[in-house]
Amino acid sequence: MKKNTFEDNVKRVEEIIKHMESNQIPLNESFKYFEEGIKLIKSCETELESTQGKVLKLLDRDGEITKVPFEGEES
Amino acid sequence: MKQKTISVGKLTKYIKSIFDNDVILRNVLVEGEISNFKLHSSGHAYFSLKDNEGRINCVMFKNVADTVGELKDGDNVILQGNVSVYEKNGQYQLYVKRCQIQGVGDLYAQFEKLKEELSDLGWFDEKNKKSLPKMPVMIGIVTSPTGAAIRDLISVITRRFKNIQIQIYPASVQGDKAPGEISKGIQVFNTMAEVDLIIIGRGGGSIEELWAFNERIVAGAIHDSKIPVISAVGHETDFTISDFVADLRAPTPSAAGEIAVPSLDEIMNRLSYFEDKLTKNIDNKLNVCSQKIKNLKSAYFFANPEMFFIQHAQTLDVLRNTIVNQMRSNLQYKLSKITEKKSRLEGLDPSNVLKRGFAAIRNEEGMYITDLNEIEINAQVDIVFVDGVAKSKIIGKEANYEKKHI
Repeated sequence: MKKNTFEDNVKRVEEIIKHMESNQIPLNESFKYFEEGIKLIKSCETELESTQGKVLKLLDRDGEITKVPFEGEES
Repeated sequence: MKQKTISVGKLTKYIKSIFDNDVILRNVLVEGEISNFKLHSSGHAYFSLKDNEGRINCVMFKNVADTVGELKDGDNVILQGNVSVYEKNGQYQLYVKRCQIQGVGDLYAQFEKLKEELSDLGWFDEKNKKSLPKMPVMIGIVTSPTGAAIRDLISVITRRFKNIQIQIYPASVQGDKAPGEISKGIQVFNTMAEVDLIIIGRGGGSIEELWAFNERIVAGAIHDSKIPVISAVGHETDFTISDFVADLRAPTPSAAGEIAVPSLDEIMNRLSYFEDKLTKNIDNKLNVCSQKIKNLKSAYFFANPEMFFIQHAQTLDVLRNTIVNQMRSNLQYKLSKITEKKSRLEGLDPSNVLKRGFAAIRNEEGMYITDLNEIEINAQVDIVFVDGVAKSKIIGKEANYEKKHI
């Protein structure tokens, strides 16, 4: 499975927010968290925007798999 | 010729009696396909039995319907009963006394058997179900590349999340090859390990058409899959073994699409909500801190800094006074000591002794003589008085004079 950094990043952002809200943390640490959170959000957005959606069809020739674009097929 | 008229009711009764007295119609076995099946709330079922050449209305009362499995259009059945006339509408119909579902009956039994077996194995247990990824990056679909299911899936998924990647493993979804191909698809996705979610499914159809998803080999592949599987077979009302084994059952392929991927808009909204929260949080913190600084600035010390110096100046003054006083008293003490010593010294002044009538003897070197042995007969000495010196010569010595005369 491809490493799902996006989901991890979102989870981390949620943690950061929870942490910032619940804990009495010093201001300079807050800034660190804030910076990390914003960075993660931006990278999530970039990831979303940069991923190219595509639909592939797998051709299975005796276990040898090749991928071809799937354009929709008539029945 | 004048013919006697009879009432419709009587005519109908007559026709009915012909049906009822007919040996064949009194007890027939007839085979056909069910259509227009309607189960009335009373529990009685009404439907037609048809084949390529004809059609007959059928009624199956509750007591019979309850003994038969679920019926639906398209089911092939053998019905036993009598044909008679329903007088109210003048239609003849088959009153069903027994019903045997052809083929499907066997399938139903198979279904129940496998379901029970797998359930006993724990394959349906919630605790064994994998959770679906919230944000799949790549989705694998095992279905027919030509069916309605794949079209629905792709359109729903890409509508919600246009950047998603989809891989399709084309498989027959009905017929003899279907179970093998469907399970192979699941295995291939597991071997390639690229997708993070698998959807298997097909559009609606008869129980025979959906049967591949009730096969053990498919159930096994789903159960063995390391990647979460959504099963989306047929319509809302169709349940297959796949649905039970899968990590999630979607009522239809379209619904599977909705479940599988979040909407991109929702995610973007969520991200900007996060950003908002972070910014608000840090703003709050800054406000709190600047308020604290404000409070500190208005604190007594910063508001009245001169007070700090005044206080210290005062302390210095006190210290200085203390030192000066201490010094003064020390000096006085020393002075009194000196005066005391002076008066004691004055008491030791030899001139005072001379004044009282004593004299001192000084030899030629100017040293005062205190001992008789220090002096020789005929030595020149000075007798020192308070007001002068008498030059003298020693003419004799006598020890212990003092004891005798003083």
